[in-house]
Amino acid sequence: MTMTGSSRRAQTSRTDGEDGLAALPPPSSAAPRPRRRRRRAPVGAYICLVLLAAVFLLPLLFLLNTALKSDADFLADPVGIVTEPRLQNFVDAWVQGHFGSYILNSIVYTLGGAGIGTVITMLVGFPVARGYIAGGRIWPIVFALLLFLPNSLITQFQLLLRLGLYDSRLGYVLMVAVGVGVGPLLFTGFVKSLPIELDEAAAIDGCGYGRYLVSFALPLCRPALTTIFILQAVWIWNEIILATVLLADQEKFPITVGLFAFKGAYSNQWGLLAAATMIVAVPLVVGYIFIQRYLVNGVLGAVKG
Amino acid sequence: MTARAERAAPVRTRFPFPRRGAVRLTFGLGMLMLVLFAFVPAVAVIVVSFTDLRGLTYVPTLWVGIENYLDFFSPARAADNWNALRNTMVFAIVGTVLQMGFALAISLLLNRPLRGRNFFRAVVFMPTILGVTVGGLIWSLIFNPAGGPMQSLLHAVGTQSAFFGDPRIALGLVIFVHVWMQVGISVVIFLAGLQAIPAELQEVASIDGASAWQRFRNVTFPLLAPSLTANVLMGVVNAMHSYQLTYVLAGPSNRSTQVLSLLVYVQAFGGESGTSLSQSQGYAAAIATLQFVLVGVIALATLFYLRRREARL
Amino acid sequence: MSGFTRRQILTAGLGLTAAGVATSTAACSSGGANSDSSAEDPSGELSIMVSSANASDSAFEQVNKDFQEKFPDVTVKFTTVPNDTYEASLSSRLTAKNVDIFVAKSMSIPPSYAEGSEEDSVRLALAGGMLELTDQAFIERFDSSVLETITLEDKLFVVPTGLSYTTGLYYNKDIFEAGGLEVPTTYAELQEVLSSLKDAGTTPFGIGGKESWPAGLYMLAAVEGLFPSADAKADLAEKLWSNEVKLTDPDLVEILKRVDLAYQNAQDNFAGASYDAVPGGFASGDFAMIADGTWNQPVVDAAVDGAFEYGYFPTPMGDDAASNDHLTGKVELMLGVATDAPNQGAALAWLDFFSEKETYTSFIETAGYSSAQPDIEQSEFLESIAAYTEEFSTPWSHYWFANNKAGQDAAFPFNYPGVKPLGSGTPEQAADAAQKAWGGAF
Repeated sequence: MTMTGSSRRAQTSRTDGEDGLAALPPPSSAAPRPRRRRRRAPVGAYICLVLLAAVFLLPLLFLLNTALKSDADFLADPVGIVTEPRLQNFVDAWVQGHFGSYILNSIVYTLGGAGIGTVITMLVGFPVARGYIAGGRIWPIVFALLLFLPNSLITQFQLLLRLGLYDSRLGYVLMVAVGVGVGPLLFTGFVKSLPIELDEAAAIDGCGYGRYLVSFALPLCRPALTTIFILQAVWIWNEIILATVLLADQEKFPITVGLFAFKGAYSNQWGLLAAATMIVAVPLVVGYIFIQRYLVNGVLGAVKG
Repeated sequence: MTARAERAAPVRTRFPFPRRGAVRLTFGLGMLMLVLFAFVPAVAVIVVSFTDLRGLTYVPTLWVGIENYLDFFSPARAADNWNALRNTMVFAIVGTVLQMGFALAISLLLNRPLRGRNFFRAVVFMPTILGVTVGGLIWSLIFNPAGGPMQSLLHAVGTQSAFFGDPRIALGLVIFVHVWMQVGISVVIFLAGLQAIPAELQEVASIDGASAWQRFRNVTFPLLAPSLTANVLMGVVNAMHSYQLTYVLAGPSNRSTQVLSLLVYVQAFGGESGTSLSQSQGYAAAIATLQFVLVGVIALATLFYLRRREARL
Repeated sequence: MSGFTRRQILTAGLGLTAAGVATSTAACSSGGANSDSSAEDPSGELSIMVSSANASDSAFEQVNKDFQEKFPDVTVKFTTVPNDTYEASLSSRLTAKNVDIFVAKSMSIPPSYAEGSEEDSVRLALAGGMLELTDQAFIERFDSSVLETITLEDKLFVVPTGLSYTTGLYYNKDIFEAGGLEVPTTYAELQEVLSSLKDAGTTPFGIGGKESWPAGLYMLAAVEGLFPSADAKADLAEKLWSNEVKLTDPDLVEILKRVDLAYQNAQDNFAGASYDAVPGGFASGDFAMIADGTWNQPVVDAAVDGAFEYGYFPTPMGDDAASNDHLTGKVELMLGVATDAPNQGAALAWLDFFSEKETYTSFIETAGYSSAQPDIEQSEFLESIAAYTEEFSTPWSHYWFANNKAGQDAAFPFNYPGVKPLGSGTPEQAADAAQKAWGGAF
């Protein structure tokens, strides 16, 4: 297998199961060579991988490096590796920043919001995909509209206010829960790949719709639901503006607002700021390591359908 | 074309379950939530755009008709609006192209059975998990003009830069960070699409003597088309609405990175310390509505174009 | 789930909604249970919201602590919000009747030619959203000339926490001595000082350009130097609104040219430098002077930490010494009480406590403000600039009301953010853009 040039884009996309066999040819190769099985490591590919890791990991490592410096150290040498690591920054940041409650709030909002959102997506997407609900043609349009609704910050605020839910965790969770975005569209696409005979078989056996959803559809749709959940969760996790407007009590702030306010207050003390950022980032990375398996499998399943 | 037939509206089938009540109730509840919390505010924003709502108690709100829209298109504002529009379009187009390009390349790389590729897959997705504030802070640190690593690198080659303060490159830097943060999701979606391509097709093509590039262009790329559509659409819409990252990196007062969504936020709630411009939230709602129309048009156009390419391929 | 008929579902839904609305309105209306009469000691929760700044935040926290000691039944919930998000948070909390005391951004009514350009806080006060404080006993403690500048239609709605001076330069006395330099009093002298400093290899100015407004301090100084009297400024504002003068007139472009001089003598890449990082640079001797307000003096002092002596003098942007002999200032944070405040009693008690001589003296000391009350002991630093601050005069920003219908380039209206390197043009080009943004609105 030859490659024209060394750009990654020109590399073959081999599907799973085959060994990687292509070698990095000299850039001047032109004519395709006959396929041969050669057991040489694809150096070029590995170099690219290392570069990739550098681009994505170095910034985080730099953050860690800065977090371990005192302010004086940082001013003296912002870039170099820290010589006298100190954990005091972390202690200070934790004490001054209420990060414990920020992280907890973010988790509650994300899990709650994405959870409710996913449930809504399923409850709304399944009947539409199967055609069990009247008005079959307009619902997909409605779902598409969900994707690009206008920025309704102002009116969402007024709505929550009139419902008496301003500055309440419940109000915020409800507001982010409906940010389902592309979920329903994705879900309806997936459901179409489930054979309708399954529904009918379950119904013949006397299974009600509700039970069917929970016992049969849910496990089958798990990959798609996982993807939808994760997409919405990521959005909620990153959400900063709604939180600024809809929440007033500092105790209820999610990380985004809390960290940003911290930056506003201590913007010059990079060591402290970096430590605060690390406090927020580390649980994310750790949690991510655990769920990333589900993520890839989930998306694989969803898109295959 | 078969593709189009597949995407036809769902046909109402016979409901196999004994009672309809359950499906109506659950669907109704779900839809109610969406209507109440998402659609009603959205429609209300359009309504508000015809008023001079100020978001203050005691200050009455008056109906002003299309005055807000006229204000938006007034020559005095033209420079600001074109600026925001241009920034938004540049951000959306360049950002999406770069994001797709890198995501495609990276997913091709990660699709190969290389060692430790699960680790690398995880690494690429991590910035998305970190979130805007963390990502924004990390890159603010790196692009610190007072001696951050980037500045030191530039010093080493003899130049220097004000980074986000330099109006020529500020937007470019924001796009870079945006791509860094978003490429993970696109990679995952592309990977899924790639793995759905049967291996036999690749083998057949190479037996026929196709070069790697030809194989990519004629086998891989066309079969990736649905993933590409989904990705591009999500990317464009996301980029057009995105302002959190810009807000964290460059602040609300930076003209060279001001995008439409940021304009809406700044006009509605203020944010320029030191100015005494005080717009009404009605005006902000008008901008939001205009942006909605713009995004809708562009998204539909993109969708239409991509679907046609898909079908042709 | 048994089969509900459609009607049953509908009635159930309506019933739930009705119940929901009923409970929420009940909850809303019972929210005011905290207030009590002014005769008794204040109690309950008191919500205070201010825009954050290092020095004033700590000063407020000290006041709150002392207040809670004096009145143990009160819990103060103090929130500080960064300037950029302050308006958003304030708007939501006021509407939600969630805040007692807050900072009002401005208390100036625009003259007739600029009708409709008043700030939101002015609209709020005039519409009845802020409590009138004119007859409160504690308001008498404040200097009447200061109160005059914040009176709206003969009514007072805010308490001034102090004064700050804006159009001056901190300077490193050591560097000046080493170069044999004297404090410049005219524009020409300033130019000489700048070139001497540059020759000696020192960066003359340190500017925090990232937030944009710190560069605006030079613009205010330039206007002050070229239009030193109050009449001149008021006149200029009126002429701009009536389009008698244009922003592209050479007199006004001169303002931007003088700002440009500052830009050319500032540190490299100052467009990306953060305002908060500048005192640190000043302290380490990176720049000889920084344009900053006296509100930031505690921060500068902490950064310098006795390493060298520093002083403060008016930025000499005017051609003759007479126009550069004074500092202009503004009323610092102004605290108002919301009419819908859940705890009005405690709010008034807090303001009373705040303005007591002892509390107030220590407050302005920590916050670095100049006193808005007569006969208060001030810090050494403020005494040192007493010669420049005999009469309280306000800078251009007090006379200028931006036109809501004009573009952003005409916000100040002198387009200092449009000048390189903050923007992309020369002073003339920036003035041009500003005139387009201004003229198009009429």
